[in-house]
Amino acid sequence: MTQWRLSVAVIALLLCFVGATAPAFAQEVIVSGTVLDDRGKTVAGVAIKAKGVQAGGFSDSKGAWRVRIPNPNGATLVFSYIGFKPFELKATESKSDIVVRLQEDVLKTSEIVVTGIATGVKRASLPNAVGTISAKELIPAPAQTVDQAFAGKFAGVTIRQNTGAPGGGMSVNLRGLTTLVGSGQPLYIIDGVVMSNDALQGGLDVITNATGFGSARPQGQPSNRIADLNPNDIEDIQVLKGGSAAAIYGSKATAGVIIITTKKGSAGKTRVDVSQQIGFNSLLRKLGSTRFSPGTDSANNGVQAAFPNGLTYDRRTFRGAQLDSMVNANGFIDYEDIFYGQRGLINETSVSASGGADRTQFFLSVTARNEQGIMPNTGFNRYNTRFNIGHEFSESLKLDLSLGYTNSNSQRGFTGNSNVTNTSVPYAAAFLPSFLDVRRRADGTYPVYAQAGSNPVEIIDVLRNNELVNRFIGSAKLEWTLFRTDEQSLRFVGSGGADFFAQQNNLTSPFNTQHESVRALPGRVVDTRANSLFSNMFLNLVHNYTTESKISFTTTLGAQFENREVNSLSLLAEGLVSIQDYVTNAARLEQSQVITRQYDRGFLLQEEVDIDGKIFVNASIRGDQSSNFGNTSEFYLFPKAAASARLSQFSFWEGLKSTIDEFKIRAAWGQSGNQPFPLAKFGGLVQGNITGTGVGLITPTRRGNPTIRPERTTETEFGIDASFLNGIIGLEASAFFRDITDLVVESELPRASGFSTQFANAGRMTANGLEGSLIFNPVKSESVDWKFRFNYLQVRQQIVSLGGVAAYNTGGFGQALGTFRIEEGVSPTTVLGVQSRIANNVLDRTTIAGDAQPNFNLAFSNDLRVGDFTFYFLIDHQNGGLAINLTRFLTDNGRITPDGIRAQRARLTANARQTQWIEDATHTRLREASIMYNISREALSSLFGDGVSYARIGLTGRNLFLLTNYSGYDPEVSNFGNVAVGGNVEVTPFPSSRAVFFTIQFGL
Amino acid sequence: MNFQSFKHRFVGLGSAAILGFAAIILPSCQSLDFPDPNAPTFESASVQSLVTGVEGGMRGGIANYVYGTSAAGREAYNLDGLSDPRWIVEYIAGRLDPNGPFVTPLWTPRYRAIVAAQKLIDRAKTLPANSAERNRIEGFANTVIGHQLMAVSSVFQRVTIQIPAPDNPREVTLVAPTEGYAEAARRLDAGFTALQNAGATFTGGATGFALSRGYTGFNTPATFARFNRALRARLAVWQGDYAAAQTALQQSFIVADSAQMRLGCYLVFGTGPGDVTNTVFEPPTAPTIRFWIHPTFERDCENPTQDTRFLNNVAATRPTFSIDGLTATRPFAVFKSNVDPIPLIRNEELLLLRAEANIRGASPNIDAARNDLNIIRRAAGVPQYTTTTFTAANALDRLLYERRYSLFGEGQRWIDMRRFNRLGQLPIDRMGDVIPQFYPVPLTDGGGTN
Repeated sequence: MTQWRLSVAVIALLLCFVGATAPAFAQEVIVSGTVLDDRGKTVAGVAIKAKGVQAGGFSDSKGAWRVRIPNPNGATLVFSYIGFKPFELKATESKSDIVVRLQEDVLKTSEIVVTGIATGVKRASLPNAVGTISAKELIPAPAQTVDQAFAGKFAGVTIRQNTGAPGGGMSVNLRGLTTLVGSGQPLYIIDGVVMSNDALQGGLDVITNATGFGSARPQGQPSNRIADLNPNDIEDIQVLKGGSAAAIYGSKATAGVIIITTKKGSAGKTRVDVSQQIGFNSLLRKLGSTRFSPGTDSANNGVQAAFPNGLTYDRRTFRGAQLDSMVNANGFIDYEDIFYGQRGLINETSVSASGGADRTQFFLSVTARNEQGIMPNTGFNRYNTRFNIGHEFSESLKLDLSLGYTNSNSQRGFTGNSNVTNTSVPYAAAFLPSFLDVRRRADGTYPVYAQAGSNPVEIIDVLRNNELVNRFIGSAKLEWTLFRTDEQSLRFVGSGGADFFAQQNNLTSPFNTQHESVRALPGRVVDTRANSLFSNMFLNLVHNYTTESKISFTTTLGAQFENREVNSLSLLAEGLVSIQDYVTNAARLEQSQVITRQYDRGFLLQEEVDIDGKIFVNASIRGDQSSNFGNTSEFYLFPKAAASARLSQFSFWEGLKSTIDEFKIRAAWGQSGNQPFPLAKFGGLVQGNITGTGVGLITPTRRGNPTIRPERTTETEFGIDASFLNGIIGLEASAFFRDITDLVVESELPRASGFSTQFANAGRMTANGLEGSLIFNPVKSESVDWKFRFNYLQVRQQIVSLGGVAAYNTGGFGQALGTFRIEEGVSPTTVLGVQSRIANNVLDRTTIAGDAQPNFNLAFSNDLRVGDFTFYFLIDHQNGGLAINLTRFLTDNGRITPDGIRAQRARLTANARQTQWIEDATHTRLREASIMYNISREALSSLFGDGVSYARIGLTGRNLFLLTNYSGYDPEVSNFGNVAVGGNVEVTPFPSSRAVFFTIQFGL
Repeated sequence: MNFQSFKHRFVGLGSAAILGFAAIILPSCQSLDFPDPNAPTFESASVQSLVTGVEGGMRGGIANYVYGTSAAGREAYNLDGLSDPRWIVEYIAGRLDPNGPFVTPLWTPRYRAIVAAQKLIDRAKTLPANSAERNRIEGFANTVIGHQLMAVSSVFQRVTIQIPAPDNPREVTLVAPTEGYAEAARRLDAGFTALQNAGATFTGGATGFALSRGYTGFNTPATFARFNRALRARLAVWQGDYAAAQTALQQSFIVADSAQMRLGCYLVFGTGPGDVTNTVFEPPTAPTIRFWIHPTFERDCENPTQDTRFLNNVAATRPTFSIDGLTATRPFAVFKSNVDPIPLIRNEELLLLRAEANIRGASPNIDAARNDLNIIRRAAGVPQYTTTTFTAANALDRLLYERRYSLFGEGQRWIDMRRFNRLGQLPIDRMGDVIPQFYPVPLTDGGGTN
């Protein structure tokens, strides 16, 4: 109580002091000068803040600055700018022409990295390996979606592009597998708002008959909603890779947490940035097709040898010599060129304005991106606008508001797995030999090719698969310093907001097409409407206490509230009489609705101790309640503890300082959770109606589990961070050990119980790995700056126990075509082929086909600046791992795999059906590259005067080359979307593309 | 700016902000407990919806049942090897994967319907109903359980007759299919007894329900009992108990009338909301056909230009379709639309069952058997049997022929050939193809371990 009274008194004193300021003091110190970077160039927008006194400002576009310090003794000024080490200047008397030289911070040691929901620490003291991506790193080769840009940027991340379809569909994986049944996708938080990254099924797999409505393993390759973010709006991304760092986010953090901060304005001159990109998409890799010759010679790809029973084409069967004459007449029709040969134009215009006065700053942006796909009639348009505003009511009260709106429209085409009539372009194409002409005739009709089930040219021309999204994300963050003294402060930090989107998928398959005409009810339309509202709030009290011996204690007490509601309603209309995109006037309607609802509450108690920047200790405990848990009243606790020591700051290091200027050892231990699927605990009845009798209800195949709990990951991490030879070499290395208990497995129940499966917390899995970054900056001069970087990750995983649940196969399409095995003692990504033997439900491990998990991932990025030119590239390498290439299985069946009919036959022969389609997924990819030219300031001012502050032009590319022995379109694929296990299957996907752009960027 | 207003302004603003946050949070503090947002609970479901659910459950996996048993009996083939090679590898080559999606649909839905019917009985016990109102539920549910057990026991090499608790997944006791038949008989008999004490109607009262149009003419306790006895007669014949078959047939809906071949009970389909269609149906003129008759069904037909059982069940000849060394020319056309019902049991089969009982029973009556078969042949438009074309010596062969053509596509051919140890007589199309004696039990239910 005494303490509290004292505080009030202190506040009152402080307020009195502040309130009385401006006119009272005449004596002041005025300093001015310029800021330069380590290359001698002026730096604009450098923030200057005085320590202990309210004074500061920013450098202007020419790097000039001026600060009035309302204190006769002056103060210490801190100059800070992103990407540079902060610079302290003691200003005790008025002086002008001070030159401040900022040192570039290659290791980002001074970057503030999150350690709590409302707290952070300088990277130099950070006890965990946290990945960061700055705006600068996002820009070089513009990505369609933000997640695409993660690859290779920091150690520990791998991405998998599930589909090449315009509009995204990406899975992001941090440090390997964390779950067996979920998607294993990280939690995204943008400006304090939990952002939905759902991948809602649109209905593609309903039209292709790959699966049906409400399938447990959908194959519609939906886009995931991170695709709605505009990469241009992002200031900074921080990635908490796993349990020990992410424990502060409790039961949703096991797969990692990705914290995105959007750009803010800064005081000073209003700055306008314009970026224009224009480029095109093209097919990354062509598979080819068998070149047939007339005759029966199979060694020579004789058409009669390939199709001994003839082919039914346009309702007639062609045999023998007729096939020969077709081959002679049509030669080789390059269908890949027809289907994926479009040079899709990409056009992105982005304009942003930022600025403000001392107390109010804003950031405004508008971006329009129009992108054509490589398949005709596919594409992606996205329009983003963002308005961020920050206002300082006073030194102690600050409010940040941000509002983003996205409108996106993608035409995703018909690709992927298919059944019945094979209504998928690449699937039907797998059965389309190069000499058959199925192109549109002059009269507007399409030839009927019975073997394929549908005509892929017709699918491209007349079928439509559109996805429309409207999305608002709004957030507010309030920081209120309740009191502050020299020794201590108490802040209230509240942040919260909402993420709402409405998604509409409309798929049309007209009745008069080849594939619809065979249906009982020709003509289909699927219309899906989904609404998603996520809202959350983080409320924190942060107390900071710094002793005279420079030991600082930061205590956080926080509460979290989060609600999620997703309601997705799909209608399938069949039996249409007109070519329509609406669902009325149909012979039959089928509906499917899925509602997911989740309410969470949590608390956080955290203590951080910083001993003079030398030793940092952090401990916290988070408790979570969730409606997803069987027991909703229990708080599940997730503790963590971490410590780091900057040995290079101690006196005994002095002798070493010239060789090893920065050396830190760190260790962290923490627990985090992974929530069960929101509907796992429920087991309501499912519908089985009979027309005329009414609603029928029967028990579901998946039994609800009323005792379901979160999965719990215990992660221990050790690491060192070091800088050698004054920043020429930097190293960050970590080893992590994960033990995942209460692992949810979809246990198989005896079918005779009336149920098939049930989610149960039965399993236990370990994952151990190494990750590291090695950064070199060997040349650093005014005219040349050369940096290159290696990022490495390796993970080894093993299922330790299934807790009595019988081992099972999952994913893929059964063992004959490659499947995955969940069994004690093996890796959860173990792949089985035909030769794999299972006796009494025990796998003979010598017979497995391999592991889908790579041996390691290595990324290499190179950044070279010579004068005004910048050359940059990023190469990504995956070593090992498997992918199941069922595209080739299908083209083998269709006799069109380019290696010819003998090779196809050899693979298809029954006793040779080993693991022909399970392939090594090792690959090396030139993921990003750019050449930029920075037009010199002199040239600009002679042309535009002061009108243009900077201008860059360049050529950039993404996904430029893929080197691999894998025989499909891309080893980075998932037929089943974002699934943790069983995704690495290629079934005639939308092929990957490369993109090349011409870029011009300038500032006004 | 004076001190007081300054202080009040910012303290006020901050407090307002905190209050604002609180105002947003407090209403959002809903209870974390809520019912399943997508589905009703068993306790809240009406008797009617549960009865319809059981009926709907009986249709589960029916397409795979038709494809699988038709292939095993070499009646018809699904040659959709492009979509999935397992249509051929499993059903025709006979390499059945006990854990795969080609075996489990013949097992899982049967037990799901059995469990649903059993729960319906338990539910009825909790309702304020008199004994007749309870008996109607027991009569209906036990008849369904009997039918489903028969179906599963006629396919799998082992079955279970005790519903295992889902919490004890290991506790499945597998017994021989003959045990399954015995339990099915007990269930059917229990159902029959209940139906005789179930009042005049299924409707009305606490347990009232209506059956679907698949039971038109069999939707009262008395008439449903005849359906029950018809199933009992089939089961008795499968068990070789021809005396019991005769008794059951007398209590069934058997009628010696050539115009009543299709009288019986059916699984029905519809295009209404939440309903399912008969997916075996394909338009016979479609560019691609999946389901084809086995060439021997045409080759062996003695009256291919007259026999409506052939003519009405196959579509016109098409260009030869071939895949993996299998060829076909005529599509399977038993079903005329995607809502065509699939028979559970019908009068034509009852006449065949009576003929079999008269041929194979303790005191054979060949004349009576011939009479019944002639009713069927008359309906099919083929010449009648005479005392020289149908004799004690060829009676069994003739009966199996009639059963093959009368019950085409109903899964009986494979069971018949197995009953009389004649599976070896079924054609093998390619070297190495195997006709399974039984399907393997799914691994989840203890298959592969014994």
